[in-house]
Parts: sequence; C-alpha cells; structure tokens
Amino acid sequence: MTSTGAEKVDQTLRAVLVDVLGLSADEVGKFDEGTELFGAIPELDSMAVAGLLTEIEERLGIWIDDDEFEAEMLETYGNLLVFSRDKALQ
Amino acid sequence: MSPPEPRYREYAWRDGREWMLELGPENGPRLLILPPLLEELNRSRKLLTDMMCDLAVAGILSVRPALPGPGESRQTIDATDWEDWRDAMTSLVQEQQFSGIFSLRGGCLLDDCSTAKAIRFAPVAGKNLIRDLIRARGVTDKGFDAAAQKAVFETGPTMLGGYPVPAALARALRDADLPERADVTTGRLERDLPDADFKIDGTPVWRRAEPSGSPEFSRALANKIVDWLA
Repeated sequence: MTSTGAEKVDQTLRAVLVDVLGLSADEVGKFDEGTELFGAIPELDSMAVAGLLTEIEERLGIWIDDDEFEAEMLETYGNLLVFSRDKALQ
Repeated sequence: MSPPEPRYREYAWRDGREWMLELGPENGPRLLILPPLLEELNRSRKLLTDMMCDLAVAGILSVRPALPGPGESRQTIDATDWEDWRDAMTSLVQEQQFSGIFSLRGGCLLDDCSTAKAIRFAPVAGKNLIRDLIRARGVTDKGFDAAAQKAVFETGPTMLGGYPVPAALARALRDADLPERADVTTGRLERDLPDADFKIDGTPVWRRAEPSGSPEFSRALANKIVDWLA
C-alpha cells in the first residue's frame, strides 16, 4: 500500500460522503477514524447506504460482493476506510 | 412572477387511466419526462418539479406521468409488471405528441416508447437499480439473507424501498438494459466516470435520504433542455 494510494482512497471516500449524503465538506473533513456513521448520521438511511456503496464502487473501480458487506463496515469512518483501502489497493 | 399553475390530468392506457402532472403554457413545445423508478422517484420528485417550473417559465410545457403501480397510481404495485410500464408509456405517446423526452435514471429504460429525440440523464441499468434496492434492505434486515434475496426474483412480492415488488417485475427490471434508440443525448453528473455528451455539476438527489432538491442542478437541467429543444 502506498501512502499516495491510501490518501486517494481517503479523499474519494470523503467526496462520496459529501455528494451522496449532502453533508458539508467542512463537516466531512473533520471525520476521523472513530466518527460514527450508520445510525449516527440521519442522512445515512438504508437507501443512502446502498447508493453510497455503489458510488464507492464506481469511483474506486472496485466491486463489493454482497457477502463481503457487513453492517460493521459502516459503523465508523475508520471501518469504512480500512475496508475500502483493502479493496482498492490489494 | 407567480409560479406556474400545475394541472393534474389523466392519460389512458389499456383498460386503465393514470395521472400525469402538466406544467407550462398549453401552446409551448411539449416535453415528456420519464421519471426514475420506484423509490428513486420519491427522492427525485422535488428536483423534477423545480425543473418543470423553470421550463414553464421558459415557455416549455412538460408532462410527468405516474407509472402504474408506485406513486399516485390507482393500481397497486404488487399487481404491476414491466409490460404495464411499457404499455402505459406507449399509450401516452400515441395519445399525445411530444417534441422531446427527458428521462432520469431508471426512466431511461423506457425511452424507446417514442422516436422523439431524447435526453437521458444519469441512466442506470435495471440490474444496478434492483441491486441497490436489495442492498438497502440487507443493510437493516439481518433476516434478508441469500435465500431471501434469491426469492425476490422467484416468489415475491418483496418489500424493496417501501414497495412490495412482485417477482416478475424484479426479474424484468434485473434484465432491463438501456434500449437502443436513435437521436439520444446522454448527460451525467460532473464527477461520474463514464463518458457523456454533456455533464452537469449536480448532486445525486436520487440517493439522498432527505431530498430537498437542488435549485442550481434543476436550473442547469432546464437550461440544457431549453437549448436542446430550441
């Protein structure tokens, strides 16, 4: 994993959260690994989760199989970032 | 200027009638809007209505039909199949003349109902739409396992995005690709990767939990349509 690749995944994820959920870039810029997502952000309902995963797939050029998806992935920003980095940079 | 008066009218299809919303001057060029399908329609309604208001101000009459099944339809969705949607749109374009068609997301899957020139915005294949709906249910429903997901296409009806979607409709949607047609212009959001004839810097309101519309986005779409119809 290169640091540039890892940073790019981080930037892409933040951009997807801004675009799909309509959160402000300032707010998303302050997210850290412990920031809670699903259940803590009202904009992130179940349909938005599906849209979020699809946008992440499209922008990172990855494919997330349904059996790979676990709700824990969306518990925190850190979990989502680790999962996406593992998929995108493997 | 006061906002344009909406008119709710009916169109006939097979043995039934469905609603449609009209906005704009009766003598203007007529645009048919094919809205997104199922839950994405609810999230895009404000965007489309704002766009219709902008078009009305520019002298264009736009028509947004309700498809049989979801929304304001008189028919329940569990009694609806894909051919109902196709027949309803074919009947509408036989009943009325349109100068062009604007379709958004899943609505693009139905735009071969007419040979009028067409804009597709953020088109999506049916298999991606149904996958999003299945995923959305899987996120919150632990019991919605592989067997239950398979049953969406085999037994049904299955609650997806708030609608009881029958298995035949789910199968047809899964198999629906963007139709081949002449005279089509494809638009996408600025950040979308696939190629497009034009791009607009908007937000994917069809994915938003709180669809508040986006005045800049709807105005940009209306401006594009005005130029394209001129």
